[in-house]
Amino acid sequence: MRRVPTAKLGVYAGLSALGLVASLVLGYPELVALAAPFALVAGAGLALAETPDPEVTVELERDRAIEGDELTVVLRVATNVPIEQLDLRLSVPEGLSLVDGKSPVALRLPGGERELEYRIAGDRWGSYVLGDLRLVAHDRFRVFRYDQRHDFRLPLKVYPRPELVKELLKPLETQVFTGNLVAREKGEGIEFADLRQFVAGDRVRRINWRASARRGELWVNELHAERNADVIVFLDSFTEARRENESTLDRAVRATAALVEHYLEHKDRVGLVSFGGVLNWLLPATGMTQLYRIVDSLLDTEVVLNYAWKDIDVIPRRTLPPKALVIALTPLLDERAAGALLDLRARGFDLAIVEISPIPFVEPGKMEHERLAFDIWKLRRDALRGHYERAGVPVAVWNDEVPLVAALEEVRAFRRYARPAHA
Amino acid sequence: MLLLALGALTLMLRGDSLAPLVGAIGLVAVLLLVVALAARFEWLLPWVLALAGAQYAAFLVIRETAIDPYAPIYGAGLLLVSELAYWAIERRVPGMPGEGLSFRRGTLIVAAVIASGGIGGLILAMSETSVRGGLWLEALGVAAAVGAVALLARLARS
Repeated sequence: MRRVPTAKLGVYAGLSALGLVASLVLGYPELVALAAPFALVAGAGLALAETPDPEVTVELERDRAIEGDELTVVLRVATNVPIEQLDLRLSVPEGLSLVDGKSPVALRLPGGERELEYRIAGDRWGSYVLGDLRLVAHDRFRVFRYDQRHDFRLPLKVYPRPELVKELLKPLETQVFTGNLVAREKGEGIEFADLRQFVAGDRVRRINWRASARRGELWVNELHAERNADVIVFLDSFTEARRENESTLDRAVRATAALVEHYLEHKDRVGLVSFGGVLNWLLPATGMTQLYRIVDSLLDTEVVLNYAWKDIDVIPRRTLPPKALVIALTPLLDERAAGALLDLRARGFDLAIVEISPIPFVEPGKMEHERLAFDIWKLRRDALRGHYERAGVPVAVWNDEVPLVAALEEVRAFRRYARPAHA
Repeated sequence: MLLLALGALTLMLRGDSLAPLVGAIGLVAVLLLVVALAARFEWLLPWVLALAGAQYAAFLVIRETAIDPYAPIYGAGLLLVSELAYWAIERRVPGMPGEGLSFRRGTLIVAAVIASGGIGGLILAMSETSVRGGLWLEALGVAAAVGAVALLARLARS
């Protein structure tokens, strides 16, 4: 530990010297008696001070958690030199909170090992590094301070809490690989599509005996193929509306994680485009590896202030495969993201927008002109929504009152009754 | 703070002709202590202690009589004021339950105050008996003063 004399030691030594010199100069022995207590404390402190060298270890229960999970951190301190008071300060990064255990905390270490247990909660998704620990030891007379800093750099990934998703949005077009979606095309599958006359080479098991008996010739069943889809989650990270511990981006990330997980379960290929101050993308792929890749990528998502104008030309072509369903999660606050979505629609992408409403995050204000401005802003948002709907893009509003399931159902209903034109 | 005020008041009341001057120095020391405690200005504490010491020196100069027998008490009291002031100003870190850190520290301060008062008394008693000791003790005093200054210089360098 680094030994630092305290200001008190300097003051006491100075007062002692001053008292002795004054006593000699003025000839008053009382001044020696006056200075003696300070000299005694400084001298005893110097004589008894011993530099401690504590050994510290920090253990984290696990390095992955889901938002809201609690984890145990065990801190062990061992010392051979008795420490009168040891102040321990374990830094907890923003986004995590200390549920049980004190930090900073003072304790006495007469020797041996001491174990402290902390419970921390992952309040917000993200990648964190734990283990920044500061130790300050004090001797009996507090004439020295002993500092030590440890950075154990224990990584902790807090994954977003998944939103409830029951039924997924189905894309208008399917891809060529096998999946769980009933394709429009006929092929190998189990869903009935049509009847046609038997031709040489047709399987006997495909013969529809009832239809054949009625018509007096062989007819076979045609079936819909079961295919997968390409789904691109478009995450608008240009800007966010924030209220205390929650923001539109937080919700968007949670929804993204839930959607990605469900689509991948259905054997679809899923890709991610994080469109914001920093452009981030992952090419569509399938499987658990892709799930971890996307979720890990989401943990690094943040709003980066950027004034550069961006449109969808900056997104690599392979990231947006043809016939892909693009699900945009956006607060519709930034013109660049809003423009890029219209561009995507104009290029024929099957687009659905889930608007993470920023309205609950905004105070309308108390003054009349503030409330008027708030109303105008809401009207402009309605107009933008109407603009998308006229372009055949469903926009579902997701806010405190509406769960994600309901928002997705709204999109599904729009697509059912107002199917957009194909590109 | 009350302790310092009590000490300053006692010295003023015990002073003869220039008692208001002694009282004024003590009052400034008390006011500085109030400011130091209220604003947590640790750097003001040396000035408080120096002023309190100066008040006592002024009291001795004005008084010009025999040795003051209360000097060790005043010195021990000043140490108590200083320790409590440093304790009050320093950043508080909550202790683990059952550690008894405050109790141990308080006990140590009281013990140091009592011991220093005793040593002060011993020094005073020795000074009364060794008035005829002369040069050797004077040289020892000079050496002690030089040693304290050297210690201060070393601390300033580290």
